[in-house]
Amino acid sequence: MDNAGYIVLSRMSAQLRATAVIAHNVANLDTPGFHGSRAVFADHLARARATELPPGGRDLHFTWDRATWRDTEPGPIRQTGNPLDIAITGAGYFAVETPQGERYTRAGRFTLAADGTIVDMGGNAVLSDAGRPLQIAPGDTELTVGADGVISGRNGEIGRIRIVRFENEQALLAEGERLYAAPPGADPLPVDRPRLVQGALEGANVNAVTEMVRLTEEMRQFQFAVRFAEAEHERQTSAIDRLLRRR
Amino acid sequence: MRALHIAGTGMMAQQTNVEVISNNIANMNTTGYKRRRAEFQDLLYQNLRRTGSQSAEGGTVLPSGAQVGLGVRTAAIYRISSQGSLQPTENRFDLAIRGNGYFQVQLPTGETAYTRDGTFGLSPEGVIVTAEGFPVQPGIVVPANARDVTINVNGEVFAAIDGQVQPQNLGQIQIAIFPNEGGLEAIGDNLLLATPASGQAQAGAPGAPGFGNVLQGYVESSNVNIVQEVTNLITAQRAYEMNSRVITASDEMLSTLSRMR
Repeated sequence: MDNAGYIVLSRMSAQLRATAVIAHNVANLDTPGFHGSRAVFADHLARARATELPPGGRDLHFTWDRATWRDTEPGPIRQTGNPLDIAITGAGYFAVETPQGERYTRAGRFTLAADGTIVDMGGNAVLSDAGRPLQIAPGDTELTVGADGVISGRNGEIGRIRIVRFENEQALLAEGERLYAAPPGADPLPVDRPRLVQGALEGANVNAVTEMVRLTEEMRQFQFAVRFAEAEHERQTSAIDRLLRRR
Repeated sequence: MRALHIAGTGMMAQQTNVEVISNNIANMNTTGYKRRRAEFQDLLYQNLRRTGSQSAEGGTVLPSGAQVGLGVRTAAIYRISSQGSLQPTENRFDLAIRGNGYFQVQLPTGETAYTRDGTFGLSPEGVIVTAEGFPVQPGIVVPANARDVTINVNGEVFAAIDGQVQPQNLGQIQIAIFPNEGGLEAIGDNLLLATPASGQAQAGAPGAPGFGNVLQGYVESSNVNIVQEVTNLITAQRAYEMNSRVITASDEMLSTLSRMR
């Protein structure tokens, strides 16, 4: 029957997880194309049973970190001068081919594999809008990437980088290594007019100030919840004491 | 308490970052040095609640799942091979490449190494060698009676020899290009080795399509931009501090817990 204690407990465990989310954002302050996320709290209603008043029981509101919500705002774009660093200025993701299937990323730090294929830092081939890897002939050096994603070299057009968008970006599963997987049913849609910048890279969209403020807030609220649990414990102890004394 | 470990990975990553930046600053005046940059990527995620799973009541599908990431790690330290500025030295064996390509150097082991450092000189036998004395390929021998040596933009070496009207063509210095320069392995002493990631070296004459030009009397200075490095250093230091703040905060939460009566 210690509902107050359990409610505070639900708040505390949710807050510990929320702190882990903030820690992950701060740790990735310098990860290209990283999108920060945030824990979303909701109250989880439960009906307390076997109470006398009011008849039928009371509603109890437990805290529940229902979801993590990813901030999909583009991060700041930084000039690097590397011809194969490509930033997407608007919405959209690059598509890459991994052994597990197609994955999506915002980090446009690409390089050439030994066979001339354009790959990401993990060695996964970047896909063209025809769904094939983009291959560059040896010695074809002066690569230019147009704002619409068309890559051309000295010997003419090589292909167009595939840029996709999703109906619900929140449904994408982060897999680490800057890759996102699309869950079944969330099929990628083509972006008609992508806007790309060559020689630039999108930084993490994590705002350090906000994260620090949230961290302090999270910590103080946690301490408050602990204090509340202590007060509740004292209340119960003194209630038991008083009841015993009255006997 | 995941936050402690996550912030720990963040601090380790920033430490690597500072190490890379300090190496760049230390090599600010190294001929032919290309600056490096540390690259990070997020670690794997724990799915507390999967996207698309059904919430308890009424079969409504969750619009987004709950995922907690586990921190960051260094993905790569890559070389930025942009052109460094050319510095006149007035030394006739100093060469700089303007554009793509690397000089080929024969190591004592017989392997071929590649370098952008064109501070060359002559060996006692008259062979054009690097500052370490490794012969530049193809081996070009300058005769002892040569008055002056001229190297044109295409790498052709001419010697003016006493008693001859026409300068004598001694050979052509070749340079090598790679499909992926970033894949070259640095072995120190400004030397790089080819790896499967860099692809096969393609040797050719300077000035040919895809190859850079050779300039006599110049060396290529490092492409380190000191303003950029110091800015990166400040950012790295602040990021390190913020990660340590997360550790302090998590520690404070834990100590609150342990003090709980």
